[in-house]
Amino acid sequence: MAVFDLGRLLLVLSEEQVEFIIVGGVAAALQGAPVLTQDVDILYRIEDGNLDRLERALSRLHAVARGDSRNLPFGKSHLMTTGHKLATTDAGALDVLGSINDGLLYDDLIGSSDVLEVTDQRVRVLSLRRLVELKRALARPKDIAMLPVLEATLRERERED
Amino acid sequence: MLSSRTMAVPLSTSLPVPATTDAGKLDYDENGVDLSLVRYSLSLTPTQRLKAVENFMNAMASVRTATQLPAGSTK
Repeated sequence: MAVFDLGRLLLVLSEEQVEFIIVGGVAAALQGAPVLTQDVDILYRIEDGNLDRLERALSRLHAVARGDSRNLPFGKSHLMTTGHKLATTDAGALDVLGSINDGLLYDDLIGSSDVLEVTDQRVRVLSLRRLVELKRALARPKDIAMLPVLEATLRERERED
Repeated sequence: MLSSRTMAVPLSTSLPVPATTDAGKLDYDENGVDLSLVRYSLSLTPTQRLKAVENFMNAMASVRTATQLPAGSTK
């Protein structure tokens, strides 16, 4: 049975100094929304040095393409693309995203992220407000289904401030 | 934004909204979201929130193993 160790996952990414933003369901949860998800989504910066660092981190995590019996690792040429790379790692399922929402890159969203301290690591997490905006824009049934919880969380946070 | 296999689960949407309660004022918003759950989640630290997600992932992995579903399956 796979054992998920999200603290280790973040530790390895941080130790390798990968530039990334946590997005998706884990971002929502870290920002305080009562939601659960089955994998971690990260949006990484597509830049030569960062791709090297990301490749090293994925290697340390023994990341291979999910659902592919050949257990293929992710090489730099693959990471250079803006597509979604779905990985299985020894610390849990990890979606490694070059872009989200039809072409938004790391540099487009870094200004909409917060730095949170999580398991002694300082990690960038997409802001709840931006997450809501992106999910509204996607308008897929599963995103729409989650919106009321995210919006309620946003309202509660703003009420507390 | 989420991959096709990702299933984020809004905890509160599965809860019915009672029409009345003896306990007094309802703590649901107009969409039926349980605000007490939201406030509880907001009271946790980011590390505690991550741990909650991790516990759920491990529970799902246990269920998947017990039912011998292939890795990556969400059904």
